[in-house]
Parts: sequence; C-alpha cells; structure tokens
Amino acid sequence: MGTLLEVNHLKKYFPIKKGLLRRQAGAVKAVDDVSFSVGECETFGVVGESGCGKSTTGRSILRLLEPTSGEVKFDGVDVCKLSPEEMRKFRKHMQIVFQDPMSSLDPRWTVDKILAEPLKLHTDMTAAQVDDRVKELMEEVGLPSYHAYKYPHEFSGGQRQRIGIAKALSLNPRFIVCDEPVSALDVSIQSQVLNLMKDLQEKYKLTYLFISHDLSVVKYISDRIAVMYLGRIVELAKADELFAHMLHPYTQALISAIPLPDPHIKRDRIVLSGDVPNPSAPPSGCTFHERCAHCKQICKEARPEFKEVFPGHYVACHLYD
Amino acid sequence: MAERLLEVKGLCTEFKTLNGSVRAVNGVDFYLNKGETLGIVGESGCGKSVTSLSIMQLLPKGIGKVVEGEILFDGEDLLRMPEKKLLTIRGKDISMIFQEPMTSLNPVFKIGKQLSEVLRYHMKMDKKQAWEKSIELLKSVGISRPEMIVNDYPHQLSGGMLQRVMIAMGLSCNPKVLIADEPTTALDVTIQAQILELMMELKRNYDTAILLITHNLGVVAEVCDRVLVMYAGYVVEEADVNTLFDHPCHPYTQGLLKCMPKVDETRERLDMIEGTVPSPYAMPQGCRFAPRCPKRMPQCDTEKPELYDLGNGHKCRCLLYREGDQ
Repeated sequence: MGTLLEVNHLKKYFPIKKGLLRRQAGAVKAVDDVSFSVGECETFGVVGESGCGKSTTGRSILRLLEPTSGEVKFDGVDVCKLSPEEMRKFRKHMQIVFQDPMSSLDPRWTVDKILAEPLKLHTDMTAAQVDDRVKELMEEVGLPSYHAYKYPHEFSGGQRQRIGIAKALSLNPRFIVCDEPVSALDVSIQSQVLNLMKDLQEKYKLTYLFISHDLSVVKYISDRIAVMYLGRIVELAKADELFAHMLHPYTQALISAIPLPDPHIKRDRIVLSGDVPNPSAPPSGCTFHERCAHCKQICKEARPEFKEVFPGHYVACHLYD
Repeated sequence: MAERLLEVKGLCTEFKTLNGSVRAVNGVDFYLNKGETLGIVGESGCGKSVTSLSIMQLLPKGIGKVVEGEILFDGEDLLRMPEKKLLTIRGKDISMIFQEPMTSLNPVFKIGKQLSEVLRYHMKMDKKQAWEKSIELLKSVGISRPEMIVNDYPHQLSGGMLQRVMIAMGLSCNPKVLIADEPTTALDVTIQAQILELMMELKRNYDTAILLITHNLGVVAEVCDRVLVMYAGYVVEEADVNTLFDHPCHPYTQGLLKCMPKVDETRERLDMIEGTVPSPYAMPQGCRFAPRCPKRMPQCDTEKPELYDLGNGHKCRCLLYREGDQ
C-alpha cells in the first residue's frame, strides 16, 4: 500500500484583529503543527470534540482554507504550491462531503443540475454523456433516477447526503474528505450511509479522510485513527489498537465517556472537569495539562513530542518519555 | 407500589398543515413514578418531542393541539386545567430542559436575572434572595465562580455551561418531574458525560422523576429505568431497561440496536433498516413499520397491531406477539 497523502507540519492560524487599524492582536491556532500520512485505499479517521481543529485540517488539505504553513503532498505533488488554475484542475482528484447537505447543496438547483455541474467544468463530455453519467451516479448511491428533477428540499436527510456523496464521486476522485457525513442523520439512516460509503470505497479504490466526533462511527469505518485536541494530534494508531490500548489520558477520557448501549456494563468513567480551553490562549506546554489527572511539572512547561511508542502507535504525552 | 406522579392516557396530538391535519402522536400511554427515570427513544419525527410539549402544553398555538387523551398530574388533568393554575405548575412542579441551551435562554438578559425570575415568580422570593439563591443553584450544578457567571450573558458561556444553567433553572423550584428533551445532543461526549452525571446526582438528592427524551440508545442504557420506543407516532415497545436491551421484541427495536456501530466490537458491516420513515401524509394502512420490517407478514399490511402485553411490564406493538397468532 503506497502513501497517497502526506501532511507535514500543517498549521492554520486565524488572525484576531483589533482596534481601528485592524492590527493583528493574536491568533487562534486552529491547527497547530499536524503531521500524518494516509495510504492508498485507506480510511483515516480524525476524531475530537468541537473546536479541536478536525474540520479545519480537512479543509486546509483541500485548500478550501489556505494553510498558514506546512506541506500537503498528494501523490507526490505539493498541493500548497499549485497556482489557482492548477489547483482548480487538481481538485477533481480530491473531493469533500459536508456535514449538512441542506446547506451545501444549492436550494434552487435540481439534482441533475447539481450533479452535472462538475462534469461540465472538468470534462469535455457531451450533453448526452453528462445525462448518462448523472443517472449512473444516482444509481450508484441508491437514488432512483426519477428523482433527478427534484430540488434538495424535497428529499429526506439521508437522501440529501446521498446526493452529496454522488456529487463528490462524479469526477472519479481518488481521495474524499468526509466532514461529519453522518452526524446529522438518524441511526437507522446512518448505518445505510456508512455501508454505502464502504461499498463505494471498495468499488472505486477510494481513500477517505473521515472526520467525526462520534468515536463509534469512526471506529467502524476507519483503518487508522488520529485523536485531536486543541489543534494538535495527541494520539494516532490503528483503529483496534487505539481502542485496546489507549495511551493518552485524553483518549482514555474520551473513550470512557461514550455511553454504551448495554445497561449491564458499569464502568469507572473518567469524567473530565472543565471545558476545552480557549484556542486563542491555549495552556502552556501540553495543552491538555489543566484537565489531565496525571499532570506533572514538565507538562506545564514543555510541549510533548509526538513520537512512536509502539510500532505504528504514536502519542504526544510526557508519560511515555 | 411506588407513587405515581404523572400518567398519560391515550394522548393524541395533531398539527394543522396546508395539506390537512397530521397526527404526530397517536394514543400514547405511559406513567412516571416518583424518583424514576423513563426514557423515550425514537428517530426524528416519531413524536417524542411532541409528547413532551403536549405534557407541558407548549405546543405552538393554533397549529398543534391535543385532540384526545388525559395527562394526569397528581390526579388532576393538565389538559382541562385553567391556564392560571397551569402557570403555577409549569416551571415549578414540572419543569423542562430543552435540546439547545443556546437558543432557549434569552440573549439580552443576564444569567442571574433569568434564574431569579423563576424563583421570584414561583417561590415569591424578593430580588436579593432570588439573586443569592441563583448563585447557590449555579454552584450546585458544578459551575465554578458562580458569583461572576450570574453577571454574564448567555453568549459568554460555552454550550456545556449553558446546559448546566438550564438544569439549574429547571431544578430551581425542586420540581417533582423534570422533562429533559435531548439534553445532551448538542454537546460533546466528554461534556455529555458530565451533564448526565450531574442529572443522576440531582435525581438521587431530590428524588425527582425524570422523563428523558433522546435518540441515543447509549444514553438510555446508562441512565434510564424504563424505556418507551416510539415509531411514527406510536409507542411500539415498552419495557424496563434490562429487558429492552437483552430481549428486544419489536423488529424496529431489534433493528435499531443492531444498526448502531459500537466501540466495544468490530464488525465488517453494519446491519441496516431498509428504507425511511414514512411521510406523515402517506402512512401505511396496517403496521406503520411494515414496509421496512424484515419479519413482515401478509396481515401486517392490513391490520393495525395493538400494544400486546408480554408480562412484567413488557409491551410490544407487533402482530408477531398477538395471542393465537404465534
């Protein structure tokens, strides 16, 4: 399995401007030095709570947000160095599925128009070919083709998400960023969409970057998982390995906080105190130290290095120095 | 027998729409005992929130209306009670926590003002007493520096903090019944764990009965004593929490439990419930779950199932469990 995507020291800072002259008064470090790589046909899960920078990471990779610094290599090409025109052409290899299909589909366009748009922009298909492809795409995601002339509001949430997936698939991309694709859906619909995404991955040899706050969903779909906290990856491992031997205290708390659908299991839950700190003024050293039960002096002073503790299992925590 | 606080009998709620009226809740029966936590689970549109709004009589005026049934609280029917009397119960004896704490607090008033309003109205406290009690309440729900927080506006607090404020408000008059409508859905898992812990602690301390409305079966397993499963306006299964998770009877409940991805197991593929919830304008004639049901029988399309009693408080609305059919 070759490496398809390589992210090195990616940073995305949002400036905070103040005063009459809009001078920069600080920065929100939404993504702060994140590095990872994703193999071909792999599903790489990113989990974390709201505000941890998982969506910003996904969007910076696609340059929907311009990264502050860092390198994103897609199949050997440094995406950040491409000119706008080159980037526009390159986008057909990398697509995204958004969380809320209602706000990411144009409400005034019919489904066939939405799905035809990328084909018209990126390929030189004839009108008839475009029509066929649209029908094929709809079939592919399990929507009968008589829905083609309907507007997005006429569909249910699950169907809209299928349209979002069809749109992402239309140009045969190799890589799709899935930004909370099932978070707005009911459980019974969620499982349909997840299974569909797995089928499509197998069929088209797709690579997913799967972003979600729901650990059980991420565990189901991912090969490897990165846990993010306040703009940094704190732990990265194979999905099974992560759940069997979680190392970082934050991962442990996060996993123990999931309510399990079994009334007989009584667990010792690690309940974190307090909220996620303000990302514009993150705590010194390890950003988790204020909420951590194992906090030592060094945690307040030095940022822990992100390193390999077991083969393929990376963690950023001073407990494993 | 435990003291029965709230009893809902044959509740039917209708909404007026441009295409005629739609029945969102169809003959729901349940009771709530003192100190008990009853969960109502179901997917969006199954009528779980409408049930709670019907109890509180907070349905949008002129659009939603309870058309049949009784809601007995302490032996009195809330539906036939004069508005004035209802005002003394709502917020005091029965209070409610909503899903989105960000939108259910008034953005232009300070937290302290909103909390003391409840206390001044129901407990007849004066301004100063109410302000002090507000600080005390915030402390009891685990907010640090409550003296400062009372002077803050809602937008200055995080979602988890606001939900704590809502809980403090809900509990301010020591209610007998607390209705929590998706109290943790908008929150992160670690914050959800904090809030659930807090609700359970308060329940133990004050012996409050809780009606918890959620779509998350994990939350149900964790905190509820009994559970109602709703589908398309009907209660399809009722059982105590252990029975429901060990021996789910209705095919819908079975499907729901199977299609959830779980952290403590690895699966190649998730089970699915095919199709979608039927549109309220085109409900199936017989059992409303029949078109999606893997155990569908010919009679399911024509006959409406009743809620059959399976013993020990376990009830199921499915023709599979009808006497004589088995």
